[in-house]
Amino acid sequence: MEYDSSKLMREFAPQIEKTSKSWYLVFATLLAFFLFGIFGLYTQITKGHVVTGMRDNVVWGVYIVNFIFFMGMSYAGALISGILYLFKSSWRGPVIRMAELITIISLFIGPVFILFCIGRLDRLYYLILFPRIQSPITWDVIAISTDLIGCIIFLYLSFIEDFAKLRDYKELQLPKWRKRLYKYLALGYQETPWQYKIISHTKNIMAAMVIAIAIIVYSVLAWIFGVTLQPGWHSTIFGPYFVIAAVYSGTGMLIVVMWIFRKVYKLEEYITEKHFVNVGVLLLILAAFFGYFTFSDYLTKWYGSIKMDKVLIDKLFTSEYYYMFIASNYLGVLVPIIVVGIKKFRTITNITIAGLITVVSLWFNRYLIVVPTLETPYFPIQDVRSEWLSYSVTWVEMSLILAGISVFCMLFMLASKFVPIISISEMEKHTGETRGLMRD
Amino acid sequence: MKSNRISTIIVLLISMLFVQAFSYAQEDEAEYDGYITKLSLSYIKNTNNVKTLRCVITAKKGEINLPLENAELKFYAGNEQSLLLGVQKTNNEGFASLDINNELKLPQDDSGAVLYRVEYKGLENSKDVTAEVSVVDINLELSLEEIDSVKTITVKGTRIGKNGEILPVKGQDLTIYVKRLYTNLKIGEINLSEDEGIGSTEFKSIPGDSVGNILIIAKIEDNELYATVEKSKEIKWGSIVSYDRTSKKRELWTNEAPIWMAITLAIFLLGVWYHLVRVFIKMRKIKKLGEQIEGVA
Amino acid sequence: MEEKDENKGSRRNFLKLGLGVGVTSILAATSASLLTSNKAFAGNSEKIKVLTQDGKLVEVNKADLVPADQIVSREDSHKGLPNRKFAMVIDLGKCKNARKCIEACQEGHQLPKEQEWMRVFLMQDTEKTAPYWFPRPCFHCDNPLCVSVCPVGATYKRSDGIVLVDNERCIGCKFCMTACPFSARQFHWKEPTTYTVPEEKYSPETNMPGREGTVGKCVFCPDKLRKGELPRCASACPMGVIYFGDIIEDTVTNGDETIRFSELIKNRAGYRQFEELGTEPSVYYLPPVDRQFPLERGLDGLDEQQIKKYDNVPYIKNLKETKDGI
Repeated sequence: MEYDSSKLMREFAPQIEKTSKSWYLVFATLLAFFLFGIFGLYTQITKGHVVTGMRDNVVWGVYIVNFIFFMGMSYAGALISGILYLFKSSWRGPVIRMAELITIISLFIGPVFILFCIGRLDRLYYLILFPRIQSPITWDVIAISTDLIGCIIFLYLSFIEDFAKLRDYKELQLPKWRKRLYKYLALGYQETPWQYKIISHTKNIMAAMVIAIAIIVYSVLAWIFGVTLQPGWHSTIFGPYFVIAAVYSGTGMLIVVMWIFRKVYKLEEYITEKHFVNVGVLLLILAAFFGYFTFSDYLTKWYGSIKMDKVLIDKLFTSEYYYMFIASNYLGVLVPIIVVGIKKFRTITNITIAGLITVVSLWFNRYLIVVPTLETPYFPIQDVRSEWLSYSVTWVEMSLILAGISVFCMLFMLASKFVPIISISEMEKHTGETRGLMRD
Repeated sequence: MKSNRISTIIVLLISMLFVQAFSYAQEDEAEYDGYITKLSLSYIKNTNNVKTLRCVITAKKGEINLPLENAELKFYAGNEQSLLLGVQKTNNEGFASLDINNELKLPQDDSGAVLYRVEYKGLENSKDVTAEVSVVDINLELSLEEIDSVKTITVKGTRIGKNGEILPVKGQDLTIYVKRLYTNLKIGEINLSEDEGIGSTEFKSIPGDSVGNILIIAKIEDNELYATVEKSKEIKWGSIVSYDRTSKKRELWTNEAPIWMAITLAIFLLGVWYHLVRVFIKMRKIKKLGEQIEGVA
Repeated sequence: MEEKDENKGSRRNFLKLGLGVGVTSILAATSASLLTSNKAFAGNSEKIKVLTQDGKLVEVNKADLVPADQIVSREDSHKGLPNRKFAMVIDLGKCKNARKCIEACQEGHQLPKEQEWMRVFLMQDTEKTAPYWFPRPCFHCDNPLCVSVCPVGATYKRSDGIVLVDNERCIGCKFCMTACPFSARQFHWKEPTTYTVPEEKYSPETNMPGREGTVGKCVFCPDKLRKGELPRCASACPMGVIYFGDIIEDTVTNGDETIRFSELIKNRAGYRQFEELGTEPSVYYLPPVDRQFPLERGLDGLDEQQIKKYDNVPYIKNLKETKDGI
């Protein structure tokens, strides 16, 4: 398969130029969910956090779960695109743009969720005004903002060549301001050997940087839990465990996104079963790692059980958390391994289902990390208020979760109207780089 | 010795029967509008020989117990020809006190005791309340010496007899305290001897302040005859305690972070920003190259 | 001394209420704690009864009655009392869950009835071991994890060992709440309604008034300590369970009894709860031996709902089962 840019541009221009009715319909639906979330947020701000299910024992609920979840996907996108780029994977062309988009979009959504959890948003700037560098939250503020800058630069670098192509594609039927915007964003890139050399060099630097920052940032996030003394959190394994879990969920998400765009924009020619299998194999490896970390963490806690660890594990295995635990930590590991591991099952649909299961079960995995621990403090919970005893999600929290998911989808939809969903320059390049090397 | 003690007890019992105020602090109550007014009087002679009468007046009704503020209290000494010592108003805690002028000649009864009385007249619709206390004035002498390298606390009790002669206070028990933040810590007891009215006890090591100073108090408390009398002295007998948390400047929980954390953070930020700046520079280079090409074209 | 005199002066000011009842001086409850102690008076903007000197109860606006305690500014509250290191000793053998410590604390800090900075747990480690009442204030740890994790320095440890929260700095991230292994911290989930203290009188030393979206906890009553008085819980306890003092002086007192701290800990085998967590609490416990009261006494006067909160304790489980059996 060979791709040249004019053919690709012809192919992808309609994606940017035309917007279908169903696109608007879906967007409007998502917008409705988003507005519902805004209403939920308004309720929370006016009435106080009492409208959430969080109370003095479970002080962090699904907001934090969503924060970890979206940040996880973001770092995963960064890691995957970084690794694929650095190691010049032959098949990266059609998927790298999607991984990058996952990164940047969830990186915008994730931190917003932690804001929902903060009691005094009006004092948020105190984090910068009075920082204490002993606090893992300060580490997080520094790390996430660094990561955000790093990821934006990395993405921008990988977009420059495509912006140049969009600028140079004269037939593009777009309003003038859009064309001018592409011209501005293309930084006068003309594909001269000099410019090409500089841009690949900087991209290499940034790919490496993004990988390093992503690992640091996600470890820092894990340490928010790890440094406390809470049963189930106080674990040395949490840093790497969170990193693996993040990449794992992000890979699952990548598969889902690939499947959706393949269907919606008819990209069957570009995203083939081979791509699904390749990303699927990555998913399998990560599933094994994730399963190993999970097993290792719970085994040590269960075997030589300190009292509080035992209380926590008893809770996980005897209460309503049992099914959640099985679903997230067994199905979430075994399904991808079986689906990708056994050749017979290795179809696009199956792999996508496995990816979806991964994403969902990883969300519940985070829920199981955050909530049951907070429900088992060292001192028994003895409170006359029944809602103080355990945590349950309220409609406000639900509305904000839905809003988060819909914003994720909406941003993807908008992005697909702004840049080709498959990186044209990457496609072109890998034709050049790996001609004849691709297995078929 | 033994007979002496018995005689003291008998004297005590008799005085309890015949002396009108048998209690060191008396309380009186009166009722109006369902409120019971309660007045209490006590006597304290402090280390500077200042004699103070202290009064608390409260009104109680069921669960409610409120101090009376701004109540006018009249203090008297003596029984028949009573001498007005002064008038005081209570504060918002229902408390008033009066220091007795030491130059006054106070009317004594046969046993040498002075009867103090406080009166509250109240307003139109309330009844009078009075409280009395009878006290024999005594002096305590406190001496702190190291005898054979044993730190010794010695107390001598005296009183002035009818004819001005100095008499020992015999057989009285008193308590030795050291002053602490909220209360006094008891460190020993002394029984004044039956002959000379002298007693002593050994001082055992206890933390003092940052230079080792310690305030030792000898005290007779709420005694039937002598009410409350104390004598105190400061001395450098306490073990020196220094508690310096200011040395802990860079801890996890202090304002400033441990050095290694600051260094690690600096390395991280420098490392990242070095590369980010490099990339920025390169991006500008691309733009410049592009402009050059456009310029040529 | 000077400080004390100032105190008295300001207290007097507070009582100068302009009342149109023709009485020059009125008798009033002298502090906010006294006022709120009366359940009938609780509430926000309502009228409250005070007694005049001639024995008449008059109604005044509760808002007019302001506790005249000295307000320690936010900056000064960081300093701590010089050369002091406060500690508490709680004698578990004497506690009978009279809940007076909780009530005094709630009155003193104007907390709603459900919010307990001081808590009394019914502890029973296993089914075979004995249950006992366990009062738990904030432990004011010497290695306070809550302070370590605070991103903005809103909670801090002072030179006298007291850990405070500054409501005007707190951003409400709740990290300190997850970091504290002792569940000592509480969040204002909605705008609190029980405070009568005006905002400009806020001091971290009392942590009044509480604000929505910030964290509160037991403060060891530095406002009382400054006046040379014991914390509210210690002076309220009818059993003398709670000893408080300065361990530099090596002395603790429960108001009635003053003992050398080191001797008390030595003779009574004092310990610190969850020592293994390494936070080095400033609160010590004397084991629940030689109990002065049978445990059931602590259940007296509790309503059904309050007993229900102990349902998970094996002792209560057994008690209820045997009751049901009969």
